[in-house]
Amino acid sequence: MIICKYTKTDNAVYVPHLDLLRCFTMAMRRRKIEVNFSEGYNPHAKIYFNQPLPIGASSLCEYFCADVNESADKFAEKLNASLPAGIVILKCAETDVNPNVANMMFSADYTAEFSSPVLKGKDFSSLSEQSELNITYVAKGKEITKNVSETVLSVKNDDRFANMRLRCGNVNLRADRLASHILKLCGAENTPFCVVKTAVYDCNNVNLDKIFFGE
Amino acid sequence: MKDKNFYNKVTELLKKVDKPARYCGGEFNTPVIKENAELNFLMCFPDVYEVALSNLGIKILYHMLNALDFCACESCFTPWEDMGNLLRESGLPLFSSETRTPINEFDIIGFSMQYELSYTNVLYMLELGRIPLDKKDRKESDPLIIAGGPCMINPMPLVDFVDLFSIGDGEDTVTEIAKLYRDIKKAGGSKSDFLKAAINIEGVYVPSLNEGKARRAIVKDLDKAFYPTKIKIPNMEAVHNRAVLEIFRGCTRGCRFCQAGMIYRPVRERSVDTLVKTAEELIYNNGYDEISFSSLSTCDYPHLRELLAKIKPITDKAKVSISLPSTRVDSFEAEYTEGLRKSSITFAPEAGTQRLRNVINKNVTEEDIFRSCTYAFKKGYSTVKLYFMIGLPTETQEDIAGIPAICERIKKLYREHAVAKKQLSLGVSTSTFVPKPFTPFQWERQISLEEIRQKQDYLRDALKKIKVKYSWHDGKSSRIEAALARGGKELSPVLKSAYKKGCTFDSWSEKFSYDKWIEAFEENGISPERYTDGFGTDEELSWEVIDAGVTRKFLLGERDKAYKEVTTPDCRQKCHNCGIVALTGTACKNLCAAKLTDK
Repeated sequence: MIICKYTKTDNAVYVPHLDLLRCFTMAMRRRKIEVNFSEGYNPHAKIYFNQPLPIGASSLCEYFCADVNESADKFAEKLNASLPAGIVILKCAETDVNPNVANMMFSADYTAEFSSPVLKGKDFSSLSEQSELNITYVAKGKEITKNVSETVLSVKNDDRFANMRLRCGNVNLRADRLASHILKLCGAENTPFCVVKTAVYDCNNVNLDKIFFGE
Repeated sequence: MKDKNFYNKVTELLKKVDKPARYCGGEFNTPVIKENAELNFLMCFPDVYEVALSNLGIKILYHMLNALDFCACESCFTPWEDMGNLLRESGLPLFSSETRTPINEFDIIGFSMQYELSYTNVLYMLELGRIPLDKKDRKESDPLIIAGGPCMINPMPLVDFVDLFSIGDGEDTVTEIAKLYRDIKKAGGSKSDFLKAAINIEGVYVPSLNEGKARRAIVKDLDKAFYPTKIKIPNMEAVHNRAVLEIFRGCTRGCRFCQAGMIYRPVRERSVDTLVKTAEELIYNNGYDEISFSSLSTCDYPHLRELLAKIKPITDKAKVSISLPSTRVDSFEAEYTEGLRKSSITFAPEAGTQRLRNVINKNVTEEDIFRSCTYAFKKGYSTVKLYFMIGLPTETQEDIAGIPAICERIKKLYREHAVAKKQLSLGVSTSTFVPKPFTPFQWERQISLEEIRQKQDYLRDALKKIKVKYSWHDGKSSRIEAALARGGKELSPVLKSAYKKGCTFDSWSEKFSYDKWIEAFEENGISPERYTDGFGTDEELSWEVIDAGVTRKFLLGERDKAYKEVTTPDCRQKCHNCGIVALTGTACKNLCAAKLTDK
């Protein structure tokens, strides 16, 4: 079993989660990497992913676990030669069992970059201290207002960047929704921005990289 | 060619649309798009991304053009209405997928026309690309618009919008078009110079310039024809998400309703060695978990056993499954699928009685169907799908009643022979017969909407009583399809009116508006019945500007035999002088390397 950390950037950010899974299994077949399959009527490759990223979000820290007959180094080398632009395996390590990344994930760091310095002179760090933080967003064509105070763990910003630590996993908040809320507070709703996920932590606030790769 | 500012503006649009993966590009196996190429070609498909990337024809031409050292070929597919609206609101033109270049900056735009109900999407794409719809309104700086694909065997409804048509197999014709355009562009020639010279290319039809009939292009040796094995892998699930191995082109069966069976003649097969090599490359260059043997009638490939025996070890090793679509009832042999997953078997008897099957020359007997079902049930299959057509020439109530009768027999066979412990899942699907150009039924009438409804109502009730699932294709869209299939150049204004009224994605049932189409016909003083009521055999037919290979004499002879309920045997048994030899200049058996006789 191998645990991997990979990026999802550039055009790959638009690839839906199920198609991302397919992208990895196809890459493995291309590179003749032997994956172990489940038993049963409809066998499938034993590959386990963390929770999906929203479409359009970039990440430098996604994880998956694969049951393959390869060394960690060889696996990364082979796979990197066969992945679409934007998806790059950064780290790999062998593990005895599937660590179940989806269950471990508790919080994540995100950086929102705005196209102009719309946050100049403002400090949004208090957003994480409010007992009630109502944000409004559109989901499936419906406008929804929700109190997200328990999902915002910290916010730090300068003129153009906002670094946010948010809950992820079962209780979570999409970083782009908080970034849009910040823009509304600045009266600059239409400012283009992009969001990158930069690190993931477990419930003890330990970076998953440290747990899986000792760094 | 890539404008960074435009690129970023498109990125902002991608954040607002449903399924941005349709437009973002960056697919694995995308060829390197040459900068400063002598020819910039845009391959368009008038339907959404996931449909377009399932089409073999554009895959071949797209990768083939990119393999030419002077050509950069990009792609563009019809944007769904959310993206279309955003482009209009933002004032941005439609763009190519690979480098996000506005489509009006290309030299040539080629459309692949696979079905008639995609015609309005051509206009939609041109307008979104800020290209005048009517070719007479275009400037020298606008791209040259060309169209190919099976529907263009009757190009007439699109003549107002398309400069040049590629008729028949595209491999050689499109290569020649690209070379000629490059040469004339280099020499400082105009579009008009190009069109005048292009009529000498086999398979090219330029309205008003061709003298005599334009001959359909035929690639004689498929083993030597370009076939891509590094395929652009869709960013999101395509309709057919698998590697496609085209084992042969054409069909020798001669079903009288089938346009493909007539306009892809003669049969040309790839050799087993070529196919095995291609299959291995397709698997390891792309990574699909399924490979499909594509043709009009896969089990007619004379070396199918040998091919399967050689490919099976490769697919087993790579854990890839093989699918055999277009398997005819009479040639279905469950041994081919031995060891594969027992999913469902699909048969297309097309008609409910032997009499009507003789009329349409579907040389399949009920015994063939029942024998195949019995064999399949003994092997563990429990799902059967049956496809029929309603409204075939000479059809009577007895023929329609034959459909539930076949279902009852299959149910009985299942009770007697099934080894699966499941209940039989039996489904019937019907479509309405659409008479198509260059078939023996090209003169026939299509049944009226009322008749379609009556037949569908009868089947719905009769099949419900015996607990058989029934699905049917909407009759209204079949009426419009029939009108467009047999229309002349007078339909160009009708198409334009329909588009202006909002008709796009007509092949999508939720988007199709029969009322708007009828209004478009009325607005132009044309009745759709003119095309659905049938044609006299003494009339000159608008599509006869094309020489498809099969002669009028042969088609009339087949029509006559249909009315006499006489069948015509498979061409592999005997030549019926359909006329194709005159077009190819070679006997069919030579093109098949004597494979026509050794089955």
